[in-house]
Amino acid sequence: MRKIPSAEITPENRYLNRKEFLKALGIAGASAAVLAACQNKPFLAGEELAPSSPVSPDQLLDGAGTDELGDTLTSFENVTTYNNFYEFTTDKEGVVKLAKDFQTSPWEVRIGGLVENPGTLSIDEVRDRYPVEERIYRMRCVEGWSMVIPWQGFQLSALLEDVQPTAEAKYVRFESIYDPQALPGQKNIYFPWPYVEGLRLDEAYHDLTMLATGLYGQDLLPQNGSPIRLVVPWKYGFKSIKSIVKIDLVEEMPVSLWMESAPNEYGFYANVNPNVDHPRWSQATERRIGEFSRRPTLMFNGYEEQVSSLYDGMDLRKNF
Amino acid sequence: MTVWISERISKFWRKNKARLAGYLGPAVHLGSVLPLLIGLGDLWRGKLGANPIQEATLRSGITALTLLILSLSITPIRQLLKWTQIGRLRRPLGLWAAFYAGIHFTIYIAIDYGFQWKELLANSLTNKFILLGFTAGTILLLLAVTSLNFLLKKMGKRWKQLHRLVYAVGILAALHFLLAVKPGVLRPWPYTVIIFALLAFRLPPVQARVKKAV
Repeated sequence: MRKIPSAEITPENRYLNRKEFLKALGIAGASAAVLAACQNKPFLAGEELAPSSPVSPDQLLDGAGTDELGDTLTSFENVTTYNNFYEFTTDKEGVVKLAKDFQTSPWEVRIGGLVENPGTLSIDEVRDRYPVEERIYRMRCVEGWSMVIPWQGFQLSALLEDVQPTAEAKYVRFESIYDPQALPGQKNIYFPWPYVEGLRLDEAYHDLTMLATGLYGQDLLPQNGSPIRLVVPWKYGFKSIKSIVKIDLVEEMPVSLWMESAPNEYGFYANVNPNVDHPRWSQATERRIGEFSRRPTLMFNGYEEQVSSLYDGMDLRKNF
Repeated sequence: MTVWISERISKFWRKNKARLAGYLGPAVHLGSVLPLLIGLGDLWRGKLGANPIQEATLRSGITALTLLILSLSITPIRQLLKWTQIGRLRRPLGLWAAFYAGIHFTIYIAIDYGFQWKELLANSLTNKFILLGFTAGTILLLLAVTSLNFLLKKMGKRWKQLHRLVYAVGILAALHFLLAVKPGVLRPWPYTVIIFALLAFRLPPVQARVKKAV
């Protein structure tokens, strides 16, 4: 831990609000202690692992839990073998093999820009400092498929409160690792590497926005963006940047890799919206991985109640 | 020495090219049915991955495109090698391409969208790549139906004109693939380049040079 003072503690009233909010959402919270006890074992909400359960934890692992809408978890197998991670390859099922030996330790995340307390955290320091909780979120890819994933992570707001954005800070800019030797997809010169993403400050502070370090009770695997990634469940999957090495608070709206590559197709907001089609395909429906029939896509990926106020008065067709 | 070898090769070629073309006939059918068998085998063993419907759509589409390319390569090969006997492979290759295009269609309409016509119509009107695909597939199926011998005779000159549309199918299919993927995905490009090269071969100035050279 360098420079970031350890005295920055979330005020209790705010903490309680957050907890109530999450309870209302139906998100199961889990303490770090519970998580540690379940390390490398299938991890689900406590009651479901009760010893009286006739089903073994191994059987519970895949698809037994649900999100707050009752949607079944996508299997661990599918979550860890069907990945969009262009730093390795554009072939979704080829990522797992190419990412197998990707080294994510040691790893450092630099936090800076318009903040009072800039600093660099090793991934171990991140783990020590921010207790993780489990959140089951839907993930909707811009390509028209989706998953339900049990993440372990912490709210981005906790980190932001520690670094104290200055008054000029309006956006958060995230950057992924750049290393074409380890990430062969970065030799594809079509893309302006490294991967960059951004959030407006209020989106970044939102209680749903998290930094994830694990899924299904295990540390993230390389193909899922280890050791630390963003998860913004009401936006298309590409916003949830993987393998982060740099977080900056900035005044100007960051230009993401996708905005730069295809500005008419991928905007800054990229909120899931069934009414605004991709220029080349419909976004009205999606295929949930593991399901046969398509299902209708929900406004803000089903998180409308929690996030729509962030975009009051905005033309979502223009700000796609 | 090299002259001797090349003479031997050309002699062997002249003697056997008719027979080789004869072997290629059954090989076309065998090779064309193979992707279907592999696909069904993978489906049976659950090896189509996390998104099997999309995988099956992709595979059938790529197979159709590959066979279309092979069908379009027959004429240039025949001209360049003066190998008249392989001309007869053009039709079976085209028919197999149409067969896989039909599978591609069926998966999309019946399985992916479960015959939701309203959604399908909206999709093909708003999404350029779907519209391109529908157009290419419809023309190809029309060509397959009219490939019957008696129609060929009955239609005469108009048959030839109609079947020139296969060039349009090639262009539409390549664009369909290109527009279906995110920018920066390189997979459609080899197919596109080959199709355009094969079409360029048919241009009168190119043909004039080829005829002079051969």
